[in-house]
Amino acid sequence: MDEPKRDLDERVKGLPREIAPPRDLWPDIDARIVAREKRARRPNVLVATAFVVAIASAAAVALVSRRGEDHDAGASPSAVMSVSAPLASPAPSAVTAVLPDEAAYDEAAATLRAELEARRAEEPPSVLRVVDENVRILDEAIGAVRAALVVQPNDAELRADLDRALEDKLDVLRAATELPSSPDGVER
Amino acid sequence: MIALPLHPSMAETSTLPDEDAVRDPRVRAAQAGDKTAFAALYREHVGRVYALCLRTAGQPADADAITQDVFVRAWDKLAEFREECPLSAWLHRIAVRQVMMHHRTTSRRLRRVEPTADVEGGATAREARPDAAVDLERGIRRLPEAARIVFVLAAIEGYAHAEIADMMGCTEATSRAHLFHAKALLREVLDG
Repeated sequence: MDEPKRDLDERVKGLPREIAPPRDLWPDIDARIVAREKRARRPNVLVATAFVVAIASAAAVALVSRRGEDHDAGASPSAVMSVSAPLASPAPSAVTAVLPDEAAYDEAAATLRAELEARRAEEPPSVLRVVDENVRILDEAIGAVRAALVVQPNDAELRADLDRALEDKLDVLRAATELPSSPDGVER
Repeated sequence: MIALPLHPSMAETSTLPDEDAVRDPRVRAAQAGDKTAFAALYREHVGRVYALCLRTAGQPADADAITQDVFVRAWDKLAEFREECPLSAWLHRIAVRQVMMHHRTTSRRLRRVEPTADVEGGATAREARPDAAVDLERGIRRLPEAARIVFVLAAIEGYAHAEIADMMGCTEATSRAHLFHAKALLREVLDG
């Protein structure tokens, strides 16, 4: 083994495997878990949304499982046209930000959305339909919670709902951009 | 909620069998909703998770938030953990995914931010380490994103290229190439 290689390897061995965070992170983690559990127990617009999304999920599973059949049969031109439009865009600039990190959410969503739009031609239509529908439902939920916050601006649970809906939207967009692409957007 | 067919590499279910994995009663308790047990697991694992996030995130300011995300996500997904691998490996898998997502969604901002803080953010670790280690940490922080993640996982955490490829959604050859590149860059920095 040459000297520089051994030197680097030895230095790496000297690094600690554990590093204590500069502060205790558990109180924040616990608070986030509690907030999520409260939301899960509370019937609200997001629960209704989750129900709709669950139906969309079932449809998606059916669509994905039928991808091979779709390919054999050939996608109808109207089906392809129906998903060729860009994702429905909310108008974040048209509403007043409620959460301190909403600008970061919007920026992250815009980045992911641009990435997805750039790959739109490569994605199977059935997948795009599911993504578009999920985003549309979540945008509606975000709009509904924002409207409720206009009436009750200090409602902590509504603010938590908004935070969760924004996170869910990012999750959908992230998952979509992480899908393996398909040349020419064919169903495989 | 997501109804999309995820690539297998992105799944957070445990897929790395380990015969030595010990069935921890705290894991079972946490899976049943015992948050005290989960807090104990947090205390045991936060040091390694934070170290991984700190080194792979490249930005010390982000490590705190990503570490929180990892444990919130772990609580959400704990029912899916089947103890086929050590909990630490499962948490690392989640951490790598969170770091990669973080890079993806904030890359534009990160490019504009000039690093100002040291990567050795933990006070205890900073006090304990000699200058050579600090230089190496700085060198790691300056590596390109993929090379940095692979180097941390392979050289520091001891994962095999097959495991890294699985975590990152790349091939083993790509993982090897990133490690080779990372080591070459680090030698340049450290010897120059």
